[in-house]
Amino acid sequence: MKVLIIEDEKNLSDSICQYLADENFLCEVADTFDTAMEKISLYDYMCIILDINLPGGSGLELLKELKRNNKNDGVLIISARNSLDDKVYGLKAGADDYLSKPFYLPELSARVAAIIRRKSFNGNNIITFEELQLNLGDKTAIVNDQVIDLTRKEYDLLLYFISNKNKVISKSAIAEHICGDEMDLSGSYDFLYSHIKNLRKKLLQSGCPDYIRSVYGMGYKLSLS
Amino acid sequence: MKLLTRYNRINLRSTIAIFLLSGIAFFFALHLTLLKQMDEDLRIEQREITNYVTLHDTLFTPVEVKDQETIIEKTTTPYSKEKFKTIEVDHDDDYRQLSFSIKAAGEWYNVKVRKSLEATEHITRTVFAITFCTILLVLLLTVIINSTILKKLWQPFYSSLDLLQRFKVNNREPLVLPASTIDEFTFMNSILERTTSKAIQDYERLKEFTENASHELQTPLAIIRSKLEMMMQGENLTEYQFNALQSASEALDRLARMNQSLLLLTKIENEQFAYKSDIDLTQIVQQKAAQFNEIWQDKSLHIFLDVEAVQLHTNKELMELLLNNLFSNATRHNDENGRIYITLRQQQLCIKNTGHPAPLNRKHLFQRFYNPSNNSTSNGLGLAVIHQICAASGFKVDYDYADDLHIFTITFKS
Repeated sequence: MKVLIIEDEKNLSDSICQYLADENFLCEVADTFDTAMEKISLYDYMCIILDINLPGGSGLELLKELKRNNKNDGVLIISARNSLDDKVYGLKAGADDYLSKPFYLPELSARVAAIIRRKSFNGNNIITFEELQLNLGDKTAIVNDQVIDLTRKEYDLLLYFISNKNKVISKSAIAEHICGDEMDLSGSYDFLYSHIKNLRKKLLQSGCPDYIRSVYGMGYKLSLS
Repeated sequence: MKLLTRYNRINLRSTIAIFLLSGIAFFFALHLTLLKQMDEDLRIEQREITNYVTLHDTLFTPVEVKDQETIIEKTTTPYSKEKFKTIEVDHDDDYRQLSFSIKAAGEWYNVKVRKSLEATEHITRTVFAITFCTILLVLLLTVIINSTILKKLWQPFYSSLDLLQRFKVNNREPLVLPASTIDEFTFMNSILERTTSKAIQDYERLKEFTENASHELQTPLAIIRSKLEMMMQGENLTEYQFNALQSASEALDRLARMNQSLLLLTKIENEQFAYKSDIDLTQIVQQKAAQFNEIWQDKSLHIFLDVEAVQLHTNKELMELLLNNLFSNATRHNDENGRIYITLRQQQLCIKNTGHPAPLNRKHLFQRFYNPSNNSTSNGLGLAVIHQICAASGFKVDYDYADDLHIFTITFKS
């Protein structure tokens, strides 16, 4: 699965590449408008991570170029300009999603995965982690052919964990994913604890091993060991 | 005190003082002059008597004339010298009297010539009355002239003052003052126009700077966050390294949030939320309350929600941001097991919460980076954002402290 990262900050594109590589994404980087234009006209990508401010031109021009050529690449805009207008404009121009800087890598990864799933399976598919199955269509979790009764937030949490399996996700990244970035929680992430405790309890009750681990009180990680 | 009132007061006082002094001086001068005239008349009488005695060596029997008396008495003790004197006769009439002695036919006589002062006093009184009336008239005229002409003369000053009072630096409209033919006012207006346009320029530049700085900060913040998250994935981290990573992440979160708030403030100032629509405020308040519910439960807060059906014509995004900030504020600065009262009425939204048992400083409350509790989880921008949103939406925000509750009231229509 090929992903193109169009971002002029090498430090940032390196981190994104490194993080996504573990999720079996093959990443390429374009750091100027011209190289990006060349790459999108030559190859097809599952997803393009697109910065708006680029040396040599605007990312939105690239987006328009994609649409002109009827390309079906998924596009996730990452912009330093966090405003509703920019967001609406980007989405209207044909982007699939919009994330403003500074974002959390797990959030980026989960959104890239979601775009790719939508593009490849028309949004109706099942993702699996060991005996755990998530049905994205009707938003249910299944273990050993049994549906687990999860709340909406617990389901979101589980999907987020599976999208970032084997990765430590900080509490603040989880909180922002659950509550959105407009809520000023200011470090009070204690409410996460009860959500995760309930999720783990429900998974254990349904006969699924406890894959979620707390990491030094800093965050959580879903992994086999 | 107004300039005109002040001027009138000084002017009236000095005019009255001057008129009073000159009036008194005039009175005495007139009185003395008339008295001197009277003495001259008495001297003429004396000369007539002396001439008669020189010619006939005898005295005549005085003739009764109105307002004049001549008394002649034979004496053995003549006056040593002649003397002018003002005397009172019959307790009501003042007379001027000249007394002298004269020798006729070898005998000494004392002669007293008197003239009534009534006419003199009458003249003095009349002159004094006329003067007094003139003074009053002059004073009255002065006041009238001052209030009309001076007002007219100062008109350009007052209209400039009025325009200056309505000037707002964030309106981006330069101050245009009416032209004046008076040099001083033209000079003042040109200075005012220059200063205010400089203020607008500085304000714009500052705003631009804040916006650019905030935007430019976003990418480095993203880089730092991504690097920290990559480090977090390390397999063989020591506990010390984890703690350091956690502290760095938390500090970064604060920085990112502060930057976001500053950007938001700039955007509101730039009127990027100008679009307005009819929104169902009741629904939005209930939605926000539902979002916060978990955090409230977690902090064991008791919530008292009392909402009426309210429709409002405003920007929806701003309204949501406002509620976010109000609720966050009431939550963050609350105690364990505390209370929050949310009351929505047609005209106002009222949020009351328990917390630090002392009122906040009303003067600095809505200033940026005001953080009385020095709470490290608060960046001191929440209330500034609330204030700015209210200003942009035409709402009024008030703070009060009563019954151990911090009360924030948003009034929709002022």
